[in-house]
Amino acid sequence: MDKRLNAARLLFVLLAASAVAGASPARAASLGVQLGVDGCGVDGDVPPNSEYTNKAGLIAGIQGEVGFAHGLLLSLQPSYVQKKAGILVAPTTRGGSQTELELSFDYFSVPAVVKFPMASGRTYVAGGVSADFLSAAKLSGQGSDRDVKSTFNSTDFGAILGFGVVFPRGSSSFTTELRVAQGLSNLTTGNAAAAAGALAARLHSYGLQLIAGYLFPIGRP
Amino acid sequence: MRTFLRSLDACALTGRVPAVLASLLFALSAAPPAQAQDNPKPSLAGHTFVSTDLVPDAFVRTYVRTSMGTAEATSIDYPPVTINGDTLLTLTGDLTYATLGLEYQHKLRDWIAARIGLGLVTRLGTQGASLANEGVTLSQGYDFGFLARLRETQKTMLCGSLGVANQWVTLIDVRQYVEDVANGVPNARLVDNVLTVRTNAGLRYAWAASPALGVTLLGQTSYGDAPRRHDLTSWGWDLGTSVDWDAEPAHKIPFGMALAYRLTSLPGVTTTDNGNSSQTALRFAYTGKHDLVAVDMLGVFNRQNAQASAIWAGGVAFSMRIYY
Repeated sequence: MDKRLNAARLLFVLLAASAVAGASPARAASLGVQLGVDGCGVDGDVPPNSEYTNKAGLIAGIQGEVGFAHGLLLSLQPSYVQKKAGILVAPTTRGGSQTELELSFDYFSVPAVVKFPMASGRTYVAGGVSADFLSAAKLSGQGSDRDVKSTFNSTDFGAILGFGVVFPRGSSSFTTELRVAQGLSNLTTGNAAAAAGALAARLHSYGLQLIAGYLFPIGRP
Repeated sequence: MRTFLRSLDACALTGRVPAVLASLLFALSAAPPAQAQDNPKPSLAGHTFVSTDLVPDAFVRTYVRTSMGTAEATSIDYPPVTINGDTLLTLTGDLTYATLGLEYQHKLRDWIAARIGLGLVTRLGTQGASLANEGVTLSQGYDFGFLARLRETQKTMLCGSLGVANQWVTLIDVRQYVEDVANGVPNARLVDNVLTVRTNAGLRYAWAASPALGVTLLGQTSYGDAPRRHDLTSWGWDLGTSVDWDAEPAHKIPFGMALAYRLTSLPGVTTTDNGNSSQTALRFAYTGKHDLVAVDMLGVFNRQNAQASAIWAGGVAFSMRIYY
């Protein structure tokens, strides 16, 4: 297992533990799960005669949130995130057919967002950052799958802005959130390009995520 | 022409994201502001600021803004085009710019607001020489971020901003393509797309000098993908100032003026780093209770790909801002 992955998991456990332990009686804390669809593909430099298309991936994880100053909520959402992109390659001959490849990334993602509740807590705006740790990357569509993890950086950082709706259910609540996630780091290592005396290709993940979650309170509200 | 885009806060407009950003924008606008604002417009000590698109104001407010504009640079002398050692005839040419922008800022709390912006800038050579030399450039993008109040006194306001901008620059460079093909450059491209993702942080300061007069200052730095292909990342900065006059306190007329200036280190709708560029705007505005409708006279002092020295462009823009 990647050391960074372990470090990220340890960091999350510590943060979640401290957040929950530090929740005063007046500041509610909640734990829950989340499931969603990731529409973030990649965008940037493309191989000649090609274009990227976004494909849907899976988001699954847990979430913990705690209230702090000014009625705001701090939410940590460690998740498995699957990001997929199609690569459409134009036909080399007239009348030929396009070739479609698929680039798939598996990330362990740790978003940390601040939620600003609105409309008496029925909606919220969320903003924050995420640290994403690459666990697998493969290219498929031409014969057997190829492991291309070494071509990509093991860590990505992103910025998040989302809008969510809360559906209370007793003391628990369902949440749905639509968010824009913009990758800030270049995904490619540039090693191959550097060996060829060229610049690294410029690639960023960006797109939309639709997430549904369930939260139940812990401790005293 | 970067400053043109800067006036839109360097937004970008790619793929499906803009549509969803617009949906987010709609959802945000459907929600009531965190608190009813007695005066929804940016005001201090009896002065209501006449905000410009070039130097954004330093107030946590809810508003929506749209803008569109055009500018033109005429009689530009271009250097000769050399293909395989043959020098083609050089001519003068014109450049035409067009901008389109949309921005929404939502006050989440008294001290913080979230904002989303979309923007589009095009540059087009409108004569043979300028079309051959400068080609066609399209810059589009989106950005989002937060604005937070840091300090407020009776006459001053200091805010900090943090944001992310995604910008695509699409270049159709006929001259470069022809030269590359003639010179046997592998993978010569007629169309090049350059993606830049940059984070930015800045400070905005407002001072109500008198009920009629206000001053706004802007300082911002950014870091991320370099607009130039030859660099991976780069730092950038923006400095701006505006002085505005509101006729309402003295003359009871809903009219205001502002003179704004902005200097930026990044190139505009080019991917060539030829030095700083700047823009000025003289704004004439109707200042209603909740809205501001303005006409800007634009002056652009900018550098272009093929030019060793800077050129001037002049134009006009129409902007509308509604406060909630």
